[in-house]
Amino acid sequence: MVSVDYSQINTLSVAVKDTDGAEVEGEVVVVPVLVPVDRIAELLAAYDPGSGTSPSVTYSRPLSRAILDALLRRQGEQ
Amino acid sequence: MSIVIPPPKASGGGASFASIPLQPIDPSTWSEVDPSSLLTSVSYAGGSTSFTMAAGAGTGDYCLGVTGTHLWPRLYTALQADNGDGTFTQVTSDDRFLVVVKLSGSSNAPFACELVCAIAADPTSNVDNTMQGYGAVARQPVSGSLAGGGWSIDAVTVQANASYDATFAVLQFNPLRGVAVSSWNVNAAGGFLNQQNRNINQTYSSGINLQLMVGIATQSSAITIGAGDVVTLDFEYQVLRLA
Repeated sequence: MVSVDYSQINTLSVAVKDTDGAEVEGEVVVVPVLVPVDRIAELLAAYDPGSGTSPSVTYSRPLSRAILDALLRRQGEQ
Repeated sequence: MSIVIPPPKASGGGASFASIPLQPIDPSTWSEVDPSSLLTSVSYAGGSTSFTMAAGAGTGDYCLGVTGTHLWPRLYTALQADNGDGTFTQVTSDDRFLVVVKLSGSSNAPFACELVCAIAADPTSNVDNTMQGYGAVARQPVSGSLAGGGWSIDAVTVQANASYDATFAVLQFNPLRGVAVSSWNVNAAGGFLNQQNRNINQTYSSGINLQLMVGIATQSSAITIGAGDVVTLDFEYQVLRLA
């Protein structure tokens, strides 16, 4: 469903705004997550931002695993 | 030193593109914008610009990023491309051009700060989307590794390294559009350390006379500036305006 552009992962010091406009400041690892355009409608249809249990495991686990697998590989290479 | 951009297939005459010089920046006589009176003086000697500061309590408005309000002090002058014949052309928002920036001579500072060399639509504006600043950043912490990177409007991305010596950046512009800031840091031997990119994603109105701007900001909202604190950096740049 999603994947990571692994070669573009970078450790940076940032002072930026997040999706909600909140300040994010500090040392971070930028992980470029690739979401196929033709899967976005499906992902958003299955997501209820007002629900604490959304998204379901069907959608949240692949997203999480893509990011965590990338971080795991990176950690192993450092 | 002048640069001549020859027409296609030109041969002979004009300066070489094989060794384009960067121009040292002396902002001490430029127009000044200092909304919170944080700057006592600016001086220039031997390629280095020194900022002497007044006392300032910590606020996010003294940072380059995130609050949307820019109250950090800056100096600016018209951004002009060298015609190679002793005349200059004002660069506008309708041009396609690159600006190369080099920041060097960095050292640990009396307060954690970020110095910027940027292109701005309106340096006099304190509002991020009106100022429209994009540039290169040198971060000088009080202690620890120095860092450099890029700045776009209200966000900063830098990387530190124990061997940091200088930051290079290429600021990319298309007519009516800021495109990207690409930066990289080098060690004292000129060797590559790390690189950063920021997409600008901002549009310009037509007919804006763009400005070259340098400034000094705090690294975070918690930083306090001491009266008499002095911060020094070497700013250099070159404009390449495409036909």
